[in-house]
Formats: sequence, C-alpha cells, structure tokens
Amino acid sequence: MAKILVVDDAAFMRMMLKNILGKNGHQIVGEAQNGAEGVEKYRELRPDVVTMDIIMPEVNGIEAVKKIMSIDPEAKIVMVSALGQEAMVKEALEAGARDFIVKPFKESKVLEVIEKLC
Amino acid sequence: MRSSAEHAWRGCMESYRDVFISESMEHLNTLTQGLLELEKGNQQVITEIFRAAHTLKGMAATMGYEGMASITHEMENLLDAIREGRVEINSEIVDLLFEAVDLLEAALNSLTQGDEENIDATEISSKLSRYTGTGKKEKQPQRRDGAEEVHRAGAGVKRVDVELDRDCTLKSVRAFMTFRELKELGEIVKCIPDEDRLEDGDFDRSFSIFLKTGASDDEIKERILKKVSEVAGVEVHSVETAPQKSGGTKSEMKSVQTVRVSIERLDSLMNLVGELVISKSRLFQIKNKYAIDELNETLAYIDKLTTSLQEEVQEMRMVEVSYVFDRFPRMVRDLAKKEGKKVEFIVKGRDIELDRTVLDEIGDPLVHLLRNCIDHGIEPPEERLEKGKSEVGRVMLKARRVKDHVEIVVEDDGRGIDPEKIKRIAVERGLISEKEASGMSPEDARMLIFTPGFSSAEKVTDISGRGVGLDVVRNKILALGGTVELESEVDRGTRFVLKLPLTLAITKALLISAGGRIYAIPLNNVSEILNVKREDLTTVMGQEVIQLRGRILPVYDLMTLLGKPATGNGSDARPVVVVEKGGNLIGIAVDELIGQQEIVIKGLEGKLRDVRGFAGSTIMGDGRVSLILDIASLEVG
Repeated sequence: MAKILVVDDAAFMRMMLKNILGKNGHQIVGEAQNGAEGVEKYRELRPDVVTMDIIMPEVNGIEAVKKIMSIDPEAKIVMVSALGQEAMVKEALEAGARDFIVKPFKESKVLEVIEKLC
Repeated sequence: MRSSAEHAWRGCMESYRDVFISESMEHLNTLTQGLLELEKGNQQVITEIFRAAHTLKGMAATMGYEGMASITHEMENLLDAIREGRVEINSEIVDLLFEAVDLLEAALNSLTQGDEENIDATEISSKLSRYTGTGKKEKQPQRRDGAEEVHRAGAGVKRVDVELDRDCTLKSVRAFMTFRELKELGEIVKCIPDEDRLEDGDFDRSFSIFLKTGASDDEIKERILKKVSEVAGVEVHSVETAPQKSGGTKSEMKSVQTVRVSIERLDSLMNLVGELVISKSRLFQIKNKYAIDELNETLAYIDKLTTSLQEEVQEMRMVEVSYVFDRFPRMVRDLAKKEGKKVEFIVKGRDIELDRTVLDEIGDPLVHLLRNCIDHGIEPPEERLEKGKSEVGRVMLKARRVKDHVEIVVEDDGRGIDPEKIKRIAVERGLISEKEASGMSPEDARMLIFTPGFSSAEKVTDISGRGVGLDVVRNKILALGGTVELESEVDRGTRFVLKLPLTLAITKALLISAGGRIYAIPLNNVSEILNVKREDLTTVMGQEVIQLRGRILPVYDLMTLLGKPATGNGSDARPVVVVEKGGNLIGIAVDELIGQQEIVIKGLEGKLRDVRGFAGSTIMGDGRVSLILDIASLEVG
C-alpha cells in the first residue's frame, strides 16, 4: 500500500486514478490541479508516490518534477502522458521522474508502475 | 555564397563517385559469390555477405543514393535474420537477394554512365522486408550485427535483448529508460536498431543493446525488470569478439600501396609506348643507314629501356580472368535453374592474367559456350540418372598459362556432340550434301557446329538457339589471334579449348615483302621458314605442294591468297613461311624475308574490320603502313 498524490488538471483523470488505485489498496492522500499546487502538496504531505500530468496550466508537470526533486531527491514521481509526448516524458525522466504511464491507461499498467516503485 | 559552397560539395562528391562505383562493384561481386556459396549450404560466408551489404549501405547513404541504401538496408536485415537462424534460407530467398543485387548493379551501371541511380527500390525493399518485417510472430527480439563497434570495445561485451509488452505505447521512452538503467551498469557500445530509430520508436517490440560491463547477466536482467515498466522479457548474451580483428588495420595499410587508374589512361600509356617502339625502330634504321657508331651505345640503352617500359605497361594492363569469370557462377546457376538442370560449376585458374583488351573480348564467347554446355550439354537430372551418371552435371571453366598464351577450357560432362546427329542437321540445313556427310570423319563433323547457319537447338529457348551460332564465337576468338579446339565424346561430355594471346597491342612479327609491299605475320603463327627451290615444288591435284620431313605441305602464293596476280614465279628459289592454320601446317610463298620486329597493332576500323585475312595494320619504323596477316581467317584453296 502506498500513499499517493495525484496531480492532474482534469478532474476526470484524477477520478480515474483515484478509482484504480483506491480499489487496489492504495491510499490517495491528496490531489492537485496544477504543478504549483502539486509542489505545495508534496511539501505538505510527503507521499510515497506522485502521479504527475504533464500538460497543466501555470506550472507544468516537468517544472513541478524539477521543483519536487529539489525538495526531495528521493521523490518517486510517475508521469502521466498522452501519446506523442515522448520528448516531454524523456525530459521529465531526465529531471528525475521514475516512470510514466500513458493515457488512456489500463488498470494493470498503472498498478505495475506504481507497485514497481514501492 | 551558399550555392558556391553547395557546388563545391557536389564537386567533392563527384570525385568520390568513381571510387564509390569501383568499390561498390567489388562488394557486389562479393555478394554474388557469397550468395552462390550460401545457396550451396555454406553458412560461413554469411558474415562476409552481410558485411558487404552493410558497407555498401553505408557508402550509398553517404553518397546520397537512397535507392541503393534502402535495398542494402533490407538485405542487411534479411541476412542478419538468416545468420541468427530466425529466417531459414531457401532458394526463394536467394533468388530475391540476387534480384536485389541485380538492381544494385543496374543502379551502379546507371551511375557509371554519369546518370542518377534510376532504380525503384520500393518493391524489392518491401519484398525483402517481408521476411524480417513486422508480420512475423517469433519471440526472438530483433537483433542485428554490431560487429565493428563491439569488436572495437573488446572483451566483456554483452548483448541485452529487451522485449517490450505488446501494448506498450511509448516504446521509445521505454528504450530510453532501459538505456538509462544500463548506463548505470556499464558502457553502451551499440544498439540495434540504431539510436535514431529507437528514439523515433521505429522498431518492432524488441531492441538489443550491446553493453560493455562487469555486471552479471542476472544483475542486468533484474535491474531492467525492476526499473523499467512494460518489459515483457530480457535476455542477456555474452558476445564473442573475434581475435583476428586487429588484422583489419594491417590490410588497410596494405591497400594504400595501390592506386586506381582508369583504363583509358592505361590505354593511352600503351599507345605512347607503342609510338616509342616505332620511333626506336626508326632510329635503328637511321643508325644502320649512316653507320653512326656513336649512336650504338645510346640506342642499345634506349632499346633496353623501351623494352622494360613496354613490359611494365603490359604488366599493368594485365587483368585477372576472375574479372570475367566471376560473373559466370551466377549465370550458370540461373540458367541451370531455369532449365531444371542440376549443375556443379567449377572455376579454376581465376588468377591467370590476360590483357584487358583480350579479356573484354572473350566475355561474350565464354557466355555462349557456357550456355551451350548447360542448354545442350548437360542432361536433365532424370536422363542423367538413366545413363548411370550423377544427377548433378559438371561444368568446368578453367584458365591456364601455356607459354606465351592462355588456354581457357570450357567443358561439361553432358551428352557430348554426336557426329551423326550433327551431320544430319547439317544436311537438313543444306550446309553439306548427303555425300559429303557420309565421307566425313567424326572430328570434321563436330567442327560443323562452328559453321555459320548451324544451330542444333531442337527447340528454341531464350538461352541459345537464337540463330547466333558458335561460328560467332569462333570468329571472335580467331579475330583475337586465338584458336578454338573441340573435343567431344557422346555421353561423356564436350570440351572447348580456347587459346588466346596474352596481349593484342604489341606483338612480335615476321616482316615479309610480296608484290612490292610489306606484310607482317605474327610470330606466334610462324612455325618455320624454308627456302624452297623451284624443283622441290610438285603439283598434286592442281595444288602446289612440297615435302617437309615426309609430310606433304600445300604451298600458296601470298599474292594469290590476297586475290592478286602471283609474283616471283620466275625465280629459282623462294622463301616459304610455314604457318599453322586450323591445326594444319601450310606454306606461304613470299618474295622476300625482311626480319623479325616488334609491331604495334592498330586495329582495322569501320568497313575494313570485316576484311578477312587481315588482323590489323602497323606503322613501320620509317612511317610506312603495313598490313598484318591474320592467318586464321585467310582463305585458302
């Protein structure tokens, strides 16, 4: 079981993730709608894993990864990407993200990635 | 500014073009030879073939010849798949590879003409990729050779094959992550497909990374499985590095010692040397005329120098017969296949050298003879078995040096030439009469196949029997100053022996005069010279003959042979040059012997080329032109 922070500007996506993770025994400790909020929540909640959307208003996912990594170099961040965002995923990985999942995601994929990190 | 830079770049590439073409030809040759070996079941050659395709690809891509690059790329993939045992070689694949080679050759030929590639690579590329492409269902990850880089890296290289989940979407990023993890364990030497393709996600589901590492196989496996998601499987293999690789640099150093020179330059050098030889003769004449002693020493030295120079140039112009021979295995294979015959083709003496002008000329005759062997000679497998022969026929092409000429033998162990059948056909075609046929020896009957208008093909195939008979072959060889001999035994096989002069350009000749003109007889035709007295000549059946060591020798007056009034009939004794013609000795009566001299042969051109009896002309030391007799085509009787 992991404590998870979900960062996504789309409520629909947050809900999806919450459902998948929640019913598989993970605890959603917090949600954020953009990068800046995500960073604040991380500082406050210190979750085990963060799922981070890439394209978000104000502070995007990549910026957020960088900031979180500077706060906690051990942070475990999973990027949530759409098809065709290879370059940005790579950038995030370079910035310190551990893994990624691709929208539309399958339950099994999401769990595989999260469980690998725990 | 930009256009001038572009122009310079183009010019630069142009200068590479010749090198590219000639080198590519060599690689194509390697490919052809290799494919033939491969088809025979020799799997070892595949590395060599692969390398040739690989090198060609790199070269073509550098030159911007996309068609060639694309074809060789697909060939490389397919060859690798064969090597890895993922694709099993069959004759269909070999055919396809040959087809690819043909297309590459077409492109090269077009480039040689100064044109563009002019090929459409899409069809063949897609055909080739069908064997390796995404349609396949095999579990093994796609791998390709990393030979060079891997060898350079030395020992301790492991190949990590990673297969991603079937539904993995951002494949390139997974590859990227795998890279990242492996970098922690060692140094990445190479990956397959290459990094660009990995980055573009342009691969199936699997990729291989060559890693120089001290980590164990399990460590590598575990790390990837643990850190990278969507991985279906990881396999780690140790890569063997060939120790002889260091030899590569050595041979590279060696190759610097040779220079490529275009044939035209050698031709013009040969011409210049020829002129020099003529001038030398002229100097000798002057010396003799004015008896200048001081000139002797210098002239002797010049003589020596020109001879050496001539020999050197001659040597440079010598080309191994392999240049022509090497294209035959492929041809024989294709023909045999088409005809449904099984043929083992043996080539010997590939390293025998001939002047390239001679070599250029014998290609077609050899093609013709080889076609004859397969088309008419070798029997279909069933027929061979019935005869108690091995079902695989044997065709041999052999070159060897015999004194000052080269002998090329084309032989088969097929049905042989049946003299009776030949006679029958010759009679049917109206070449000889029934009566002539009945009195004809088997040897003479066989020689009928060289008669114009004779073609024994019972059915017309697109291979032979196209009306172009063996007479064309024979004429060509004779025109080169060579001879053709034929031996054959029914059901045992046929053997054609071609004797060819080493060179055409400069030859030693006997100069004689007749009817007030000087003629040259190539010395290799001359067997001896006699001084024949009037009373030694007798007339048998209207033909003047002499007795020579118990043999009867017909003697012809040269002028008569050339269709002019006979000369010298009044004199008591005349020089007679004994020459070999068609296996027999004949005497040619001339007016005067002048001497032996090196002559530079200038071919007869245009309408004169078909004049029988003359092989060409030469310029004498004093500037006069004399004709060179062609004994073989001289019409007697």
